[in-house]
Amino acid sequence: MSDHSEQPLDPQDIEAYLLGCLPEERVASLDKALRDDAAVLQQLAQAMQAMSLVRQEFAGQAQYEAAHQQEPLLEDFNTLLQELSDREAAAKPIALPASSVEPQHGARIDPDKLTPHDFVALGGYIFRKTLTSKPAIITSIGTLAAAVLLFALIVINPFASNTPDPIANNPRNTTPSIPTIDDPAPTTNTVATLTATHNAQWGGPASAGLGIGDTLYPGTRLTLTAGFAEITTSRGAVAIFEAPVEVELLDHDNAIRLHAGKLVGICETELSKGFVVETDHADITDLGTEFSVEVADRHTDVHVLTGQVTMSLPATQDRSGGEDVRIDAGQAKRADRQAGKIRAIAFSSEAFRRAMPTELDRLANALNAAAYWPFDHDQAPILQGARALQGARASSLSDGTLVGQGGGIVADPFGSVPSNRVLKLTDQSYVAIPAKPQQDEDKVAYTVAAWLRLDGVEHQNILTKTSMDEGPMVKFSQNLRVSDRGVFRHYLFSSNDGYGPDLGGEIIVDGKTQVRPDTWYFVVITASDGHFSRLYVNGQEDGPAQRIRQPKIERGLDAWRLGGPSARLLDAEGEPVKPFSGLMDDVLIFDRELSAKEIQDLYHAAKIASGRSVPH
Amino acid sequence: MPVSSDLIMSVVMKRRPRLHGYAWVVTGDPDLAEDVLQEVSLLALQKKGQINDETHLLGWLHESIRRQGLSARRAKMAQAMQLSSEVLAMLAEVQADQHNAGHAAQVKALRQCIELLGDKSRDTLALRYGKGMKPAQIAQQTDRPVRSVYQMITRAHTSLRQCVTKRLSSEGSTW
Repeated sequence: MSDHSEQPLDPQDIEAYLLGCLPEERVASLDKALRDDAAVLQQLAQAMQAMSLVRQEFAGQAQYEAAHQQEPLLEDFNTLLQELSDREAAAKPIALPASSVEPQHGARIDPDKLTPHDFVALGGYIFRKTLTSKPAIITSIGTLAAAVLLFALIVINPFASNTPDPIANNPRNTTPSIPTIDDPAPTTNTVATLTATHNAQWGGPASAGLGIGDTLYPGTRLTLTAGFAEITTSRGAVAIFEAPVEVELLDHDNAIRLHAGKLVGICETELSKGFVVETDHADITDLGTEFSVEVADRHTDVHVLTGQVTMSLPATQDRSGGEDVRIDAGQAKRADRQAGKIRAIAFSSEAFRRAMPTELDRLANALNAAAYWPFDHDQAPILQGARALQGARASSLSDGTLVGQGGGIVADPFGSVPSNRVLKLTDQSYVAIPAKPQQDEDKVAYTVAAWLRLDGVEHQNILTKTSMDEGPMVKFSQNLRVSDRGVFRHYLFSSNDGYGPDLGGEIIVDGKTQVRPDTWYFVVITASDGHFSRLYVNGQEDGPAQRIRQPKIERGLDAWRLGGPSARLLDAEGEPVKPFSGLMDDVLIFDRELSAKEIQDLYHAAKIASGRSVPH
Repeated sequence: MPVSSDLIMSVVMKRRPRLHGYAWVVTGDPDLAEDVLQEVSLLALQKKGQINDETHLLGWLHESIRRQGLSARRAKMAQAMQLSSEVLAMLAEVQADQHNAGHAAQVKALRQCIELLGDKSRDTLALRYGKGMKPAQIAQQTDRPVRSVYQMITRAHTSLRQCVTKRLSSEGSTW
């Protein structure tokens, strides 16, 4: 395939050749194609006629307008006729062709009787005359685009008034019955549910035979000797424990006591706020955040990833409880009971190296993602039963190819969840990704989702699938871009239906969200032949869906790229499109069109998994 | 019996887009192609005594365009890579064989297609052909990269060709 002559002929190669802008190696390919294939030769014959006609048409139009402005042009024309006549007379008499203008030898032409068509008919003979008239004003006929505004369904969780419970939303996760607002403060029996485990080994009598979905009662003391476990309180707070851990469920619905070990606490929902973790050294109250608590012999450390928690020294026999100390995102504090104080310590993201699968991991599995790159789970164990994406799921860059300079997987430098790792791409790099082939041959569709954080809001390609990396000739192009107007753009172009991009060959969905630099967005594009092309930003449809009438979508998911392919790519308007530069995370590809509801679920899961706050 | 001036001019005018297009392929420059076509047309008038009939005329025109075009191209010292002479000869043959769909039908279809063209593309074509500006000049005037101007012109041409082809074929006609 390295042989240039084997490159397929692009429909635009012929025109590009005539315009002198076809790269040399493609001229050779074109030459070969013309020799080998009569149809291509035919195309060239048509193209050169067409181009000549186009040129004539535009020149004729300009000359027509000029003729009504300026006598000199007609002088030129008449001079030319005279010249022809003279030359012909020197040879033999000449008769000009029949046409709507029938100039006689030496006749002068009345400009008012000329139409543009006459200029076209006679045009060849006056093209070379310099025109000094006003520029041709070509009237443009605007086309009315029927914008179909589809309002995304507002999914109302019948239970939680504010934020839907991520676990309750998980279609796979049906076993654990998470109490909801119907049962807002169950103070007696159930305090929490065991919602996930990974390689968990339990010690102690209370932990015997524990399984996912089991309810946990007040006073239960769990001893996790190996692996991981996740519980969800009746108010929806999630605590993930990493062994060795000893934890006790307290006699109210949103509190636990961590005797030893560490946990990561997540309180995403309004209801879960106020989750309390008691230790020997401190009381920690979550105000809606993600945080870690680690209990050592003499102290308790708290690191806050997002939001805020308060920490206070517990009341003792000697003294009353301490004042609440606030800990903000990116801060860490240590409560030292012996010293009797809380002091700041260095924040570390290592405390949050999450081994448990995120909600997004589970959803990616449930929705049967064809490919999924969380970027941060490469080395992490996989939760039991939580995903069976092996084979389909591409979990690391070894499943794709990082091309170019400056890119790679890095710790999220912007700290929403510092354990998160993200893909950094520069305008010199991109990732070529493989994926499983389209399963359903009759249904050509895709959904591509990703967290994106742009270094700068410039016209750029973010996720790309195109027939040619280096432009300017493109047979098809499917991509997510930032448009020159600074909004996300889902762009679809294919020459399959015989129309170029200027004649309705493009399908463009422009978002309304003005993209800001250095801001995370969860962006999803979906397209399905015969259906619609759509764009979602942060869970909501961001622009009017466009109908895809003609088959547009290239089969297979394997040609998608993370990042723009090349600085040389141009858009349909001929404007240069820069490659993506910034951060990407949680990239998912599906071989079908996800529904608005599924995308909303995906967004919520992605938000929880990443701990990112998004602009409203 | 040699061809008449009437026939020569009629053929040249009727087949103008084909002939000019061929000259364009040979020279790689539409303006140069124009010069060549004019020269060859006048030459045909001068040499009509040696041209037997319409078929002969078409072959003669193409061959002359090829020769004159190549020498004009050389004179201009155009560096750009070029199609092989084999292909140019094949193209001339195809050209001579082709039945003309009719100039009026082509122009009509083209105008309908131009109406569909995006404003930006249309304006660029107007600058290129209406005002005779080079892509580099257009780039300067419109503050765009030259490559982008080339891209736009190329795409517009391809779109128009495809559109006209569709329209002609829907009327049971071809180029």
